[in-house]
Amino acid sequence: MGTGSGDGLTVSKLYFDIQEVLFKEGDPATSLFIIEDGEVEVYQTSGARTVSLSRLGPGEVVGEQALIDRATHSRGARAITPVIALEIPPDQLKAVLENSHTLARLLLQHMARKLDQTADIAFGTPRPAEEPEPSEGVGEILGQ
Amino acid sequence: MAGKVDSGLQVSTVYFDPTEMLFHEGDPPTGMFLIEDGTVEVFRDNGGRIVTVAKLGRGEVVGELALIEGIPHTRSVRAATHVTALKVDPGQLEQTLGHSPALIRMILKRVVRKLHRTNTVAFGPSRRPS
Repeated sequence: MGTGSGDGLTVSKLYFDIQEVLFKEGDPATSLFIIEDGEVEVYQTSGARTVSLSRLGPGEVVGEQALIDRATHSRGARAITPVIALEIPPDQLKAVLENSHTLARLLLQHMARKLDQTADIAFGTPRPAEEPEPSEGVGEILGQ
Repeated sequence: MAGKVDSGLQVSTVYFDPTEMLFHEGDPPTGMFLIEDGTVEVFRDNGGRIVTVAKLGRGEVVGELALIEGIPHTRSVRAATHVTALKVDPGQLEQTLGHSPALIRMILKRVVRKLHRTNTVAFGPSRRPS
């Protein structure tokens, strides 16, 4: 099912039942989700135990690791009520970023990276041994 | 000193001496700073006790959270060394977002809001402006 977003993009409207997973830890971080209705729990598994980290509701973004260089999700997300979410698939995300003003694109990626780092601190998520560094500073991109 | 970049966007180059403040926690946002050279300290003032949260250098951004959310700065930032930074004014940021797909603005606002909440979880709540 597709819904036009007005920018010439195609986003999908997805329905999740209670306990249904949007993505698991270790899944490729490709699509971005925006919750339209319902509640999503962000979690982490530790052996057989599941630790609930946070809850997200309507209007919130899930899976922002798809915006940065993280190849896989470090935290999982699942519906704790019936959930309606918009999914922005990777090719559409790429198109949106490419059509953006350079500063907007850099700012978004910077903020998503900062969010990811802060979430790791907030939730005590172990980081992978090798972290890709941003390829260039924002100042360089602006040519100053 | 002003520079013209990328279809008319204007940023100013600003200089800070060591210990000079870029902005205080609780100040209304006046812009965001992209650090070109030098190091800044991000800190909180817990009733006289300074708690340094981060040290940032070249390529990093400060002040953007307050600017995008339209709230007072949640942390204080000062120059730890001589600092050269590019300052983007609120109007210029608006213009940037105006020239980008609407979805970018929406995603950006939501990512920033989430960052603000996660900051509170990671580092504790900000002081309210006096």
